[in-house]
Amino acid sequence: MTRTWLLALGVGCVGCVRAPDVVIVDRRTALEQQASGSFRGVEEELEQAALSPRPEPVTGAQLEAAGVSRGGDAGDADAAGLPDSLRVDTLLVRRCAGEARDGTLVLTVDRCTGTIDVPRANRLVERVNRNRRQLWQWLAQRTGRTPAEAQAAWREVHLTGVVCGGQVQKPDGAWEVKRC
Amino acid sequence: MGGEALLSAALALAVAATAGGVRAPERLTAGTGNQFLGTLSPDRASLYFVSDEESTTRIYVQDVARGIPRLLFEEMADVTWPRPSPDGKRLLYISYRTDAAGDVCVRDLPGGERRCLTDEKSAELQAVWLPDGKTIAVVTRAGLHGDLELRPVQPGGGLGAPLASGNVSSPSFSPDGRWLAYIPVERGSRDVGPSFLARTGGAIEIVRLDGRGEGRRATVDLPGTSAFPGFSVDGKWLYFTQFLNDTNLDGTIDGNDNGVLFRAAFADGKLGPPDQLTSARWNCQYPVPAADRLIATCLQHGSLDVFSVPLDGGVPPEWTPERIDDELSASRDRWERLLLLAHRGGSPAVLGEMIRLHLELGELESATFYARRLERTDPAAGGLLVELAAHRKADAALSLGTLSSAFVRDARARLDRLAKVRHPLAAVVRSEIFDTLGDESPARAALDGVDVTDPLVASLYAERLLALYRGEPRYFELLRPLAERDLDHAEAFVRELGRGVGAAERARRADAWLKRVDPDGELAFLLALERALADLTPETQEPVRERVFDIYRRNRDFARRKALVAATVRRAVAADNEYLQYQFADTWVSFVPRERAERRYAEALFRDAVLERAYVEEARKKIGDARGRFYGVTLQADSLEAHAGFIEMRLREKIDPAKDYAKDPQSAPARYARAYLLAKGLPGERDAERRARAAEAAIAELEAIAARAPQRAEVHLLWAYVAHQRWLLGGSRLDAVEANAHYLMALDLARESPRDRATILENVARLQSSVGNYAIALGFLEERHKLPFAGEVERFAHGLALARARYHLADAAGAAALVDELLAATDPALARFRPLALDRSALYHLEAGDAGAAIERYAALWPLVDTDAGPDAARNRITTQLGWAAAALAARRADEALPHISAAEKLLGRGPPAPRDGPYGRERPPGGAVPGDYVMLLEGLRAQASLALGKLPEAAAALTRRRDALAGRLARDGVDEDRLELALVEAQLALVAHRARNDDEALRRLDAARRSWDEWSERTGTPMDDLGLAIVAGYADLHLGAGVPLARLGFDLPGRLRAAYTRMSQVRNPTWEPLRSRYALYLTLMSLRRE
Repeated sequence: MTRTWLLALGVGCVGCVRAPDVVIVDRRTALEQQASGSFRGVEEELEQAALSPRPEPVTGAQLEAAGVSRGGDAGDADAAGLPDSLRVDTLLVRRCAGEARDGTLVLTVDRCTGTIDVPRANRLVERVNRNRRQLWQWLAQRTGRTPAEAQAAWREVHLTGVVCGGQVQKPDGAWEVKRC
Repeated sequence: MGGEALLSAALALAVAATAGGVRAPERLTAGTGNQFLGTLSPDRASLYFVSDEESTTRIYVQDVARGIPRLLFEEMADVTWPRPSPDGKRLLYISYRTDAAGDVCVRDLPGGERRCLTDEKSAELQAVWLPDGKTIAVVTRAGLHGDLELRPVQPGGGLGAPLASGNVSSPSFSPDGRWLAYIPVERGSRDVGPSFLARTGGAIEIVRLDGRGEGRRATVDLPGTSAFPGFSVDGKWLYFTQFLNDTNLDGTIDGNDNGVLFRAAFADGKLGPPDQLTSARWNCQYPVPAADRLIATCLQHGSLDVFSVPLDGGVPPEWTPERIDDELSASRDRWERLLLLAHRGGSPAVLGEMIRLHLELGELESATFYARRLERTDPAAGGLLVELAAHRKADAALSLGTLSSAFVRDARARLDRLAKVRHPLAAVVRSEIFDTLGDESPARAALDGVDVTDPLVASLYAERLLALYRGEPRYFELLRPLAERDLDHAEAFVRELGRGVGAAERARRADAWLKRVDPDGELAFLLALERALADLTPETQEPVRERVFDIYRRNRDFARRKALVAATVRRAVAADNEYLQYQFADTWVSFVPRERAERRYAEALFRDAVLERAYVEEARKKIGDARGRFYGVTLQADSLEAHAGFIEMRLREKIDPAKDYAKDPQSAPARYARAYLLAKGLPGERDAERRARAAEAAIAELEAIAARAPQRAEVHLLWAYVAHQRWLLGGSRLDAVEANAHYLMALDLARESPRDRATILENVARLQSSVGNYAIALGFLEERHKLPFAGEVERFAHGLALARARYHLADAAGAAALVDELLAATDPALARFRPLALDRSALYHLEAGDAGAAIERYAALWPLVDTDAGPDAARNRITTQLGWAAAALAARRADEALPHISAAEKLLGRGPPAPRDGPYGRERPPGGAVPGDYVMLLEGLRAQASLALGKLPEAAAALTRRRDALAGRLARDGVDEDRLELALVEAQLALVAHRARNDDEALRRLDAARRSWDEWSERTGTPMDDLGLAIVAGYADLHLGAGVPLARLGFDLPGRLRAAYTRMSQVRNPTWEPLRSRYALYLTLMSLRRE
């Protein structure tokens, strides 16, 4: 094992472009200051281009395309008081929930384009899914089919009525927005 | 549907921001943390409050006019409950510095020394000044399980006798000193103190202090439980918070639920009927009345802030019943309607509407409360509504863990009871219970033949139909009778008819139903409208407008016209047809009389429609048309957003907009325009004095607007922008603080406007980045990233800022991926930013460990920087060659690295590189760049390359030069990081010597490395790190592998190995695991050798 300590000493990379871990400014700041280029005029131009004293002049169509309601962040708070089915539509349109492949409704908080009260939305989703499962069971009993068959048949019909702009899961698991 | 709710919600929120309707609380604070327990100074110029923005709770003071918070004092511990003395000269508060249970302390204002009045023998929770302005009373507890007593603090220190019996919370004294109001706290257990297990009495206790009578418990006639009483300055009112409902669904009503502010007239210890001040949309608590307003803490969008509320609340007392009814008919907000209904008496019709709204909102305690009140005049309906609320409550409790079997048993019992009641409501309630139990068939059967004449029954019935029959043809058959006679139900019918299908199918369905329904009914009216709108395309917009307008002309009823405009605008928005949107918003705003509440909504609709057209024209670069549209909005509506748009368009036309605002120079738009133009001139103004004057003048204009209208997001955005520019252009850190405060205020005020949010998020993120707060910046930038951009340059700038924040927060791969996306853009306007993006992409790839991608970026960057003649060209050539060499080394292509090292050395020979300082020099390192740093860096790279290529003498020479340079810098600066760096170079020299089979030299270098490391370890108090462990491992290898005797090492190697091994085993660190195994091996081998 004569030469094994090479490995141990190899943890430090002497002089490579890498600031030490114990520094006054943090390591990444030191590295940035040391090894990144300086583009003063361009950087200041970009800084001023990004800074603005007025609202971003985007069109409603641009907002809709980004899945953002023109009403902004009203979201879940304003769906309060609506029946469950209409609140679900709001969540679907705002990409806060989606119609999953298995027929249930799922929250998709990462994709949500507004602020939602997650515990409250979760309770709604749980309640909707409970009702769906009851319905699938009822459909299966009435038709003599298995619950899985009833569930699949129900989803096929259900998707035709999903709100336009609502979020639906494709067979490969990706999400898409229903276009009408 | 979603669109419908969102549109009306957006409209409601837009209208809420305008004057004239129900008065919403006005925000006084904003921040990234919580701001709470606000109270005004007696002169009302300063606001004291607590903030947890810096993790600990600290007391801030804010200039009410300018809105800039400032830390009042540094306690080095949590503090809370600020209360200025009646003369404004002192502040009392609770401190947890020396007593974790709380002490009452006082400071002279503004920055006096701390003086505490209690000690660790007691725990103080709350404190108040008595009306004499000298005495302080505290809510205190002796011992862990002691009662919460209200005691005066004696002049010489110590606590006096209790002022009230029992456990006391939230005391308030009447201004004449005769009365004390508080919330009694009941012990949950005889043996356990109220601090651990207690419940509030739910009512307000009022005690006479002059000894002329007993206390009384004042129960207000409201659902829920009362808290935080506070006397008005004149003593005629008692303000308090009422927790009306179990809004967090935890099974109890307490301080964790939404609070609503109330007041009741106070005279001779008696309370009058409660007067609701705020809507339950605002979760408000801690009311502190001042002479001209009520200060309260409200929870909005998940964070607490201090707000101001009119003393007489949201509904002005002068409003007549007719005015309230008009507001009710216009309001789109259920909570606002409940607030209005609370001022509309208690007739059965009002009660029925309140119950319906509470049921819709899931506020079941309030629904039960008002249902019981309805029972007094209509026992059957009241009783059935109580049953419905109870059932829904039990259903909600299932998610809290209530047993399903108990729920089912109770639900069945309820069904049996209801079966005996002959009332249409009974059938509807039974249907809901069956449905909850999963009994679909009886749930549907229960609705057969229900009499839906009563509006409340009709509403619940329609809700049931939607739940049971949605998507089925039967839904429409059953809803039709209701929809034919009622516009709301007709809207639901048409909405469901077109749900999820395209225009052609909507048209077909509307045609089919039009043949079957009463041609004069509400349903036929909306179906005809739907039929016309279904044909809407860009090509048919004019004929569609004519058809819709024909329907509008033929229907003169106000409600029908309102429904028509709403449906048309909604459809136009969905089809992105601003023409139709504008036409009907314009028609509607011209029709609705100015005195109607609906007018505000019509104006908001019009403003949005015209603004949308303006933004579309701006995007098309039709500047004159856009300017005209923005101007049109300014004529019809009070919109600073439109003024900003108008000014921008004028500037693009190269016309000075100042003369457009010359008529009324004191008006808010004129002030805003002047401030805006001054702000726009700041970046180009190079003269510091002129810049400072311009910024101050702009802020003075904005201050004048804010004094009269403090809730305008555009004012705070512009204010923040001015302060931000001042900060960028050489201002002090206070400018950054001011900018941040106003950005956050603007962000809170503009939560519902995505255009405002886009700008504010970008600006505040850049501000935070410029002061090194990358974590905060990243949060804002990620939010901004979800919103669209007006131009490609803005998108590019944002992408680079986001990537940089990611890089600084250990996501170099994410940063690199994002910059690569930017590099893929083909817009010619972005070409000049390419070198910058390539440079960043290379660095982030290098940091992320993707050396191959970094090499590619440096290769692409080199021709661009090589031919550049700009002021940073010399630096950029060096950093490119240096980065390229590092990337080649990381890719194990040492032979490729050497030419880049040589090139960098040659470039460095021509002169030192300028420091990288970021935009406006805001990121310049304090010490600037030292040329020697780069020399050392290159020596290190050369050594590494030589070592990798087996060129040991070259490696040793480079390392020696690097070591000597480091030693020189250490002797000069004495920086500990250089000590560590020196240890590393010595260790590397040892490694080279060892490879050259010169173990004597290796041992000498290891000794030097160990000395440097030990010194560093002692100075920094770091007992262990990777390098220290590696150095000791080097000794072990020399001893075990090369046969160097332990005695030659000069220290206790086995002891040091054992100590380090023990520590590594105790404090497990994944990065040390390989060394831990290696140490175990060394120790075992040494042990075996001894044996």
